[in-house]
Amino acid sequence: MSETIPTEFLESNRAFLIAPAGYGKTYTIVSCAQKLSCEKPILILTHTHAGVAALKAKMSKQGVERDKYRIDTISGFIQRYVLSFYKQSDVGAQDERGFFANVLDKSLSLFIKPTIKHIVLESYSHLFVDEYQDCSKKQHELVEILARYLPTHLFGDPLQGIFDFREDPSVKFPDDFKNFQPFDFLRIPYRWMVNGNSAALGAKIKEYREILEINDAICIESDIESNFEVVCHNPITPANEQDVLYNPLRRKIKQLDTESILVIMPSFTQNGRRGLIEDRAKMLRRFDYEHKFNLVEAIDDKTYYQCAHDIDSLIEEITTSPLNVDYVKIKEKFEEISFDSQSLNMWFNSSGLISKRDADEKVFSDKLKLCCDKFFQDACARSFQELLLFFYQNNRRNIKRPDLARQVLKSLEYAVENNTSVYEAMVKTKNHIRRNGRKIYGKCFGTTLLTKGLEFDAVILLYADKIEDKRNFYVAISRACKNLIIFTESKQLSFRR
Amino acid sequence: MSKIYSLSIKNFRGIKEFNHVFGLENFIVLIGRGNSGKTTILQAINLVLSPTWNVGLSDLDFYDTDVTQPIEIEATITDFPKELLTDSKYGLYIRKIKDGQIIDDFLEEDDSSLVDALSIRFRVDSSLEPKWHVFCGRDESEPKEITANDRAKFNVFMVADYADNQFSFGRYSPLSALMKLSSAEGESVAQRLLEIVRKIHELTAENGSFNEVEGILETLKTDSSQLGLSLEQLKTAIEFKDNSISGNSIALHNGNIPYRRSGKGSKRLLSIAIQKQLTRTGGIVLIDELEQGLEPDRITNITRYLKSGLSGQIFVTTHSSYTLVEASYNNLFLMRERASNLISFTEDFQAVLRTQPEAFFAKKIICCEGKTEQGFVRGIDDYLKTTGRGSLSGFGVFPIDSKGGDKFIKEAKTFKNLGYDVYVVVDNDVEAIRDKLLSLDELSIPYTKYEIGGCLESQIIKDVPWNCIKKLVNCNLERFVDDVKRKLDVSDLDSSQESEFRDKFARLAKEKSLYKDIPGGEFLAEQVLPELTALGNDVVLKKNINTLLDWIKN
Repeated sequence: MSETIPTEFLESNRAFLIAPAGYGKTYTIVSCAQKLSCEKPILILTHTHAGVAALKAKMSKQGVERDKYRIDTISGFIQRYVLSFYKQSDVGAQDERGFFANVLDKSLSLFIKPTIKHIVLESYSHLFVDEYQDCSKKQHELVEILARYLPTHLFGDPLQGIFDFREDPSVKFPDDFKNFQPFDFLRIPYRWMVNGNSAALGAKIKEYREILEINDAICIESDIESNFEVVCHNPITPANEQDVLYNPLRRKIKQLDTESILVIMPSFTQNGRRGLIEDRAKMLRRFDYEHKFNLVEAIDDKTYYQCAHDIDSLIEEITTSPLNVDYVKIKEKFEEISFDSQSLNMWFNSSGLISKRDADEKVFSDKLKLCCDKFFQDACARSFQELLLFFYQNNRRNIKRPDLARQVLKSLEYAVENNTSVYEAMVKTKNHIRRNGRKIYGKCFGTTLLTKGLEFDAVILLYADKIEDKRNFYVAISRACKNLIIFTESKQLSFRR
Repeated sequence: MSKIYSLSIKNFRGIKEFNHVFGLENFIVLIGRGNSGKTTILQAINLVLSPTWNVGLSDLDFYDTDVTQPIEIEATITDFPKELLTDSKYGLYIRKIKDGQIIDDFLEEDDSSLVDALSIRFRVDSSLEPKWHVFCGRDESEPKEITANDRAKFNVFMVADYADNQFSFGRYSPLSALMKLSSAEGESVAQRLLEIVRKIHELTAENGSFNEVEGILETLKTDSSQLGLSLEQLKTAIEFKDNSISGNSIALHNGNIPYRRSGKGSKRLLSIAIQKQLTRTGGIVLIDELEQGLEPDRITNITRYLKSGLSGQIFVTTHSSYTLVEASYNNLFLMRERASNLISFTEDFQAVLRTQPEAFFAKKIICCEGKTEQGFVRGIDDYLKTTGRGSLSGFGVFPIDSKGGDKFIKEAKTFKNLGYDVYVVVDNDVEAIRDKLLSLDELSIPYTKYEIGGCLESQIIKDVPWNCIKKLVNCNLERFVDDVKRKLDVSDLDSSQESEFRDKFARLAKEKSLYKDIPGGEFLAEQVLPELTALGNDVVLKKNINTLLDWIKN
């Protein structure tokens, strides 16, 4: 990368670098860390553990000394301070509602204390905040406090600001940045210039970006040179969805000469909310018969915890009244773990287990009954694990949300090993994933929120005309490195925000 | 850097439980009788801030050798190196000092004016595996382990006679710490020492082989050449390996003699000089028995030297009254046996500290109104010794001369209030003083009770057996001049004249101040004490002396 970092930016005490996706923002952060020579480390904050992991990897790849920086999530950093000085009763327990908001509120009064300022100044020379567009107003308030005593550099892209929560809305550009000097010296879409990627597609996305920066509407047009295709289709109804959307989508996927494909389903409001996880699980089964796609899940989706909790309840219920053998309860749990009705109805009916005549089927149903009975005799994580594992291994293709089933199994395993409740085990499992990040690659089906920051050879965006926010549109298209295909009812897209 | 603000000790050696707040005092002189635990306090400080992990404790270091009760030493430090205040070190464990109290919750305070503090806990249980943690009193924070490297930043050094390594540049030596202080940024002590070792190598290399082993080399050369190996360059030299010659080999010498071979006093002085250099930039120096091997003038001098211009903190223990006289009251802390804290002094004590310094090292104090009394008490000491019943110092008793007037009242009260057992030996012949004696009763201070108008010698003259009177008048003290002797001639007296003579003798003794000095008092004791058995138990003199003897022994 050839752009030199302007001295003015390096030496600024309050700077905001606007860095479009794929323009070398992370590389710039690493270079800044290298170029700033200071005794104390630079504090680099971002939002997600995945972001922390990515930055760390880049730092060590570029050979930046470990003691020159410290990378953390914003909430991890402030929690460390707030929990050191406030009582638990001031902020509540970590799994309680409002915990993060409380911690953030307390941090606003904590970081203005001279003692805390002293500790921060002893600890760090600079503050960098990455993905700044994803900061909430309150987080921004905290950064403003820190910026009073630490030279502060913000990195982000307003056009990728897609996180927005009603209780604590995200920071708005440019109104919230009056105290920061804006920079935009990153002008070259490097990501598309490396070997194999499509420079022309990069240029196309840049062109669209420039339009979106000033407009809330855009007209999209196929461009073969740029490996960019707009599939304009008829309005979709429940009756024609297979023909109008899924079958053409299957054809496009087949045509693509890569294993790295991301299909994006935006979330929008139409006949109730669309694009939720159950919705996507259903859609996936209509275009991915071969089970080649991974359904990308939100790490903290509440059904994971609900499922774990419900297994605990069932175990407790059976332990307290052991004579009450009811196979339907097992069926309900399996349903919750997202086994499809086809697999469930094969072995269960409304009153319990179905007895099979077919020799092969009988072997299975006998074993299933054995597992169920074992569970009813001795209800515990281990017996449920055995039961679920048996059913899972024989119905792998009938799971709507494979990740959910996998995580439940993993939690059961952890609960057995460590003698905890399944719920606790799920919390541990999820924390582990959050800390260590997860790899999302290959063929994936997800939303912009879940795939932000990732790169795929090919991106197929569905329902483009239904997207309400141009930022979501930009995030979606800028994931593509080689091919971009957009399914839409209209080439003219207009966004509400 | 760093100062001990407060210290607490549990189950360590002779101390079951101990707490003391030293505040922001820089020069701390621990006084008290031997075995009271002064040295244990220094060792506790040395442990809790030890720069090494290997502190070599054994079962014997537990109080009462009871290993079921863990040893716990906690120190709260102020003025510590700033680098420890980062959030990845111990910044989030910061505490504050407010109005002499350590506080953990300062969110509602104006914290800019409060002093920063860090608390460190050393703990060792029956596993004998020591653990060091930084802790604070905020309920959510788990104590955080503190490494030996970080503890070394507190710069604690103990001056002890066995520590000859303080005269060489070993890893944890004060000299090497001094070198660190003078090193340029980024240059390590190890590097500089390595340079020295390189020089040694070069010097020996230039001189060729060592003659002493030349013969062997020649044989080797011949033998190997027969095997077809040519070793013309074979020679001996010091092998250059940075760990074969360490900082420990580079030591201070006085002329050609290693300094560690010097006399005790010289070693102590140089060692103190080295340590004081360290405290210039802050550090804690612990000196056990400051006076060891030093002459009185040097003790006085060194105390003055240490007292002045400190930016670090120095703890000394002493049994020397010279140190006591030289230090000011706020430097002094009294450790009493089995006490759970130290006694500090207020300005009121300054005079007594200067006039009666020795008394502070005793357990019990006899306040003598004047010289006769002091002499008499010394006589008691001799009597105890010659009759094999112990000695005053064996019982921890020290007599002080309050030099007349009613000064003894104030001194007695002072010592009593400090927790000493006090006995007052006083006459009963001054009316003004008689009333003041009542105030001693209020503090339960026992005192001699002679008959009204009586004093030691008059009570003796009144109560001793007749044959003893004869001994008293046959005194060969200088003041028993012929004139006096003539007046006290008892050779012709018969028993009917006894009481008349005793009165005359008493008057004369007072008039001529026959026993009003230390030798006089000693003489009285020497003559009178062996005669006590002959007296009845309710005789005033015997009652008084027996009460005093009982007090001394118990």
